[in-house]
Amino acid sequence: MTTFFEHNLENVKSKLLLMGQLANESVKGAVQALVEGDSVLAKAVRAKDEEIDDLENELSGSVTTYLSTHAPVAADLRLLVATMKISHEIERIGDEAKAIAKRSCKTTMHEFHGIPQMANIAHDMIRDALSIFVEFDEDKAKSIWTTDLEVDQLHKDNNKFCQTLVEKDPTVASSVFEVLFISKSLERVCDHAVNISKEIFFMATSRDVRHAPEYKKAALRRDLK
Amino acid sequence: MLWLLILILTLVAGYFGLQVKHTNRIIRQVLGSIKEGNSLILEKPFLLGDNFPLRLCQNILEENAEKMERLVEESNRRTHTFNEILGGMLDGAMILDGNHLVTFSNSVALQNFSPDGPMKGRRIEAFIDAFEVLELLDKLSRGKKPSKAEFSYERRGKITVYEITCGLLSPVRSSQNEVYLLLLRDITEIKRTERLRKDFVANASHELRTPVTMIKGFSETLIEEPEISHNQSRSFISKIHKNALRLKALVDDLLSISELEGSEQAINPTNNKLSDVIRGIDLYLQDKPYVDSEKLVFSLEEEREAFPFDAIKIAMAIGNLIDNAFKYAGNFSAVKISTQLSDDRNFITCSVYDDGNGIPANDLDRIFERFYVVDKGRSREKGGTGLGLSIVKRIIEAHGGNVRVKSKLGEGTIFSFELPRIAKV
Repeated sequence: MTTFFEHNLENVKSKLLLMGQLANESVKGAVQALVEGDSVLAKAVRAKDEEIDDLENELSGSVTTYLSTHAPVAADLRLLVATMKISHEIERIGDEAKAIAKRSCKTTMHEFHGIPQMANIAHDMIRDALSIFVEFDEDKAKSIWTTDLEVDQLHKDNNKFCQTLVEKDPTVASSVFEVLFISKSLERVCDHAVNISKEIFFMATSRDVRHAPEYKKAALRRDLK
Repeated sequence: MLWLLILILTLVAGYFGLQVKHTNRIIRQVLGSIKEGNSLILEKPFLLGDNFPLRLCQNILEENAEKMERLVEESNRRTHTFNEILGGMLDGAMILDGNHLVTFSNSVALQNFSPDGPMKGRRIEAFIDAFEVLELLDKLSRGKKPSKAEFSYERRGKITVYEITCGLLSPVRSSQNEVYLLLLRDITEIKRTERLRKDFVANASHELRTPVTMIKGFSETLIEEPEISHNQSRSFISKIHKNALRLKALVDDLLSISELEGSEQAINPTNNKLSDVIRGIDLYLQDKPYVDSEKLVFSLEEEREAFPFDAIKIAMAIGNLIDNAFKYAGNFSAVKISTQLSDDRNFITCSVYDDGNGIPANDLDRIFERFYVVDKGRSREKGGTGLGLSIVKRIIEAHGGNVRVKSKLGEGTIFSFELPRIAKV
């Protein structure tokens, strides 16, 4: 039998997962709007951000109420604290998606180099991060951190690509900058996915890996080699 | 005397002692049977008459056990029916509790969403994480009406589109949380045909509009400009004629397609020999002046027995293939048409080969699609409709065969199909 309290906690989980999937869809939609030059879709993505913000408010409300009325300890407390932090990260992802959608209308470029690939990877990373929230899987969590390195490399490649474009024809600079910022946004989205997975790692194992030296980027890169 | 008294007392004590022991055992039996829900089987009465109150107890217990058995049977039957209904459905079905935990899933749902392990007791998000579904559940938990959503689901690179219907089941006890029933229907095929139909209508109307606009434009000019030179009006009229022909070709092809798609009776099989039909193919190429019959080379295997197929339709298919070769193959020396019987004589393979330009590899998959043309400009110039090959495909498939194409750029193209000689049409 489920108690009232348990129901509340599970409810918080459901809300967080919905919020995460909405944000993930927004990122996908924003990049699709960019690649296909679909301004209607871009507008829809920007409108979706409000929904995510509302969910964040709702979540922080229920978490605060729960904390103050039940004084949870151990796993429950970790879950609630992690939920608060993750919802913030997701809200940031939503903001990045909104920014991408906004910039997609401003650029006149038709070549996006590594951006579609980055978007695919980002989509999978957020999905994986949310899936370990449902059922924790240590290996999956770690694979998210190594995938992030790939995205960093793609962002660097984009950087170089944009640089050569501007060098060739400085008049396209403003358009190229938009694409560059979009690339940066996607890179940030992936960083948020990593942060989410680290929060979940702490929640599930009570081991803090957020600033652990063995999981820093440099160390991961060395391990990969 | 004292000894006798002691003896009597011992016997009396022993009698009562045994009776207490027996009663104890009986109580244990009674408790056991209440727990198990079985009927009570009393041991043979021990020094006790039938009027012992335990008899009454036995009767009540037996009645109860019988009632219980009936209830269990009834509930088993109901569960069985319920499982049969949900399990026998072609749609996936899942029941979730208010915490999004799966409490029941039928075999279709299990097979589609969790082939590796059980679903029961796990969160729905572990299997389906499409935001459309989560949003639907969220809406339901906020007390909105049950509704539908569509979502696409990817597993091992294969994308399936599902339609999810979500219903709220009232809980057994009012203190419990709500229960959701999810029904998941695979609508990939429906979506695909819907898209094909939409594309077809869009393409067909576009293709039809072009010649109509041309005819309208030129004829309007002819009507409204009286001082047009003779040469110019000749040229306009010839353009009108050309577009009228194109319109006719399109309408003819569209009619053939709709006839072939419309009914099973589109094919009228009669006993014929394929080689005879091919030798008479000239008849079907009469209205195509660019087909040079000198360049047709036949290499036909003689059939001893005729077999049932629709001679007119098959001739139309072969005619279309030859027509295509002359239209699009460019520099070729000959178009070779050959037939060959399979070893077991159950199939006859027909191929149309040209040594022309060939078809680019990435177009090969799509050339059988309606309105797909490799080179739009050239197709229009030659009077192609983009429907020829899809008609061929329809005809051959209606006969139970299939069409294949092999091509290499600069070396030529070979279209081949096989017809079953045992009537299946």
